[in-house]
Amino acid sequence: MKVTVEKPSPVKRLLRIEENSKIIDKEEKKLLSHIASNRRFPGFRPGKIPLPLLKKMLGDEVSKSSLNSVIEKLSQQAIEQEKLNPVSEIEEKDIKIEDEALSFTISFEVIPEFEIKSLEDLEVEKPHYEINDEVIENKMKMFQERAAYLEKVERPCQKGDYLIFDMTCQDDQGNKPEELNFQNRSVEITENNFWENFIDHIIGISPEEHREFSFEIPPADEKYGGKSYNFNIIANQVKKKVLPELNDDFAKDYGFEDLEKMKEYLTQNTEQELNEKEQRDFEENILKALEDQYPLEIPSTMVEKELEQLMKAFKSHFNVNKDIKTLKTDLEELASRKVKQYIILDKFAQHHKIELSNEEINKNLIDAIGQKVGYHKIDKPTIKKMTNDWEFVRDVFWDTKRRKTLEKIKQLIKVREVNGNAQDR
Amino acid sequence: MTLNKARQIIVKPIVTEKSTLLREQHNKYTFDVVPHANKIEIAKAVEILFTVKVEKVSMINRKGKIKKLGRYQGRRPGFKRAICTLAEGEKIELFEGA
Repeated sequence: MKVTVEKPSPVKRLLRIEENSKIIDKEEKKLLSHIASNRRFPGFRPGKIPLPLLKKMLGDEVSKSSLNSVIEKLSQQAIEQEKLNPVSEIEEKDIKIEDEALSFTISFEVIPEFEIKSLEDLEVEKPHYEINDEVIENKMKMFQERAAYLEKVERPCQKGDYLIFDMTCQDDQGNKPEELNFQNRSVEITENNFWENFIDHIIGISPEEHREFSFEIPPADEKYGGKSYNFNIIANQVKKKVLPELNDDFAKDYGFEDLEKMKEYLTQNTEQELNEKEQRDFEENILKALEDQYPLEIPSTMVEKELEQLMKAFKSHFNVNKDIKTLKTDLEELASRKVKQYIILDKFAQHHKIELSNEEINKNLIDAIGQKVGYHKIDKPTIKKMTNDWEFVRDVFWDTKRRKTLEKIKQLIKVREVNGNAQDR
Repeated sequence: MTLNKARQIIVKPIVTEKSTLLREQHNKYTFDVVPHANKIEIAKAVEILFTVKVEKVSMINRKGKIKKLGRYQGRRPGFKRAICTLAEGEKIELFEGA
């Protein structure tokens, strides 16, 4: 077999393969014998039908499939011979049989070749987030908001209050949209909950007060916009939101001994979150620096596969209402970055001979299964079921290797600590 | 004999393990023929249809089996089969493999 390799681009390979065409006849004979011994033909015992007769009965299909089979085998041999690793489908073209010689071309994508550079000069920023009182106060406020309750008041309604009211709405022809006619609905009086300027007609309304006004709904409203309606509003009750006082009783409601203990817990918790964020941002900076260091062309097939997986994950984890085209455009850049990171980190792991031990793989597999199904549900059948999922195991394996490789990179690069803003999170 | 008449006499060629052996070892070709055909007609029909020289015709006349269902009785269709020995060097392309 004669193989010629061409490199039209860093990620594409073109292999021209030549071989004696007698190999097709051999393959055809093999295929016919297989069919003859495995299928029954009327008038013949299994395996006794003459091969030329069988070939005549089956027609061109046999020749075609034996040619395809030969091409597939020769392609595999050529790829192994040239020590290539295709990352895309293999396309065959220019198949010719001339003067007892079979020749054809196969093309596919490969991971680009590049050398790992020294990381000694690579300087990466490591953000440091300092915990401050403001962060803890904000957390406390969040808890306060969660514990807020409503209290009835005998005064005109203000912004931020809750109004319980009846509303009737009709246009000049007397049509009443069902959605805009209701009774005893409780709504927080903020701009976000109403059409623009509508809130001006509600603010100041007292309990038991009755207001009638005409209002043109802004065109931004797809259903009712651009039309004028007559509104009739009766305020039943006005309630104000009361935040509980920050004291020891408040802390006890959340299961803490006193307010100090609660603050202590929140500080610890926030510190842990900030540490994790520091690590995440540091790793992101490393990856960005590596991407800049290696301006590689990446195989489009790998990006497409990654994009497909990302879209699948996005659709199942988040209720995405965007249409497929918009989602695809949004995720395309992320997919190419992930592929590039994979190529660089994998090459780095090969260069530095980073291998995973069985213990590491098992530990991470159990962790990943626990995160997916819940740690209390881990048992032998679940582990067996999950480890049979090839994609799941592959993802866990890569994630473990990725983390180990990043740890190694962290040891080799120059780290510059910078102060970040914890409020950005 | 006309071509049409010849086509009416020869019903179909028989390709089985046994007929293939006969063809390969003794240059004998097997056909199903109409029940009323005789050896002379069959030889002529084969000569006209396949432009070959027939030396000898042997016949098999198998009657259909009797089948009974309760008090009713019937017979399955039988067949008349002709084994034509061709002159040396003659062959029929239809039977040959590709």
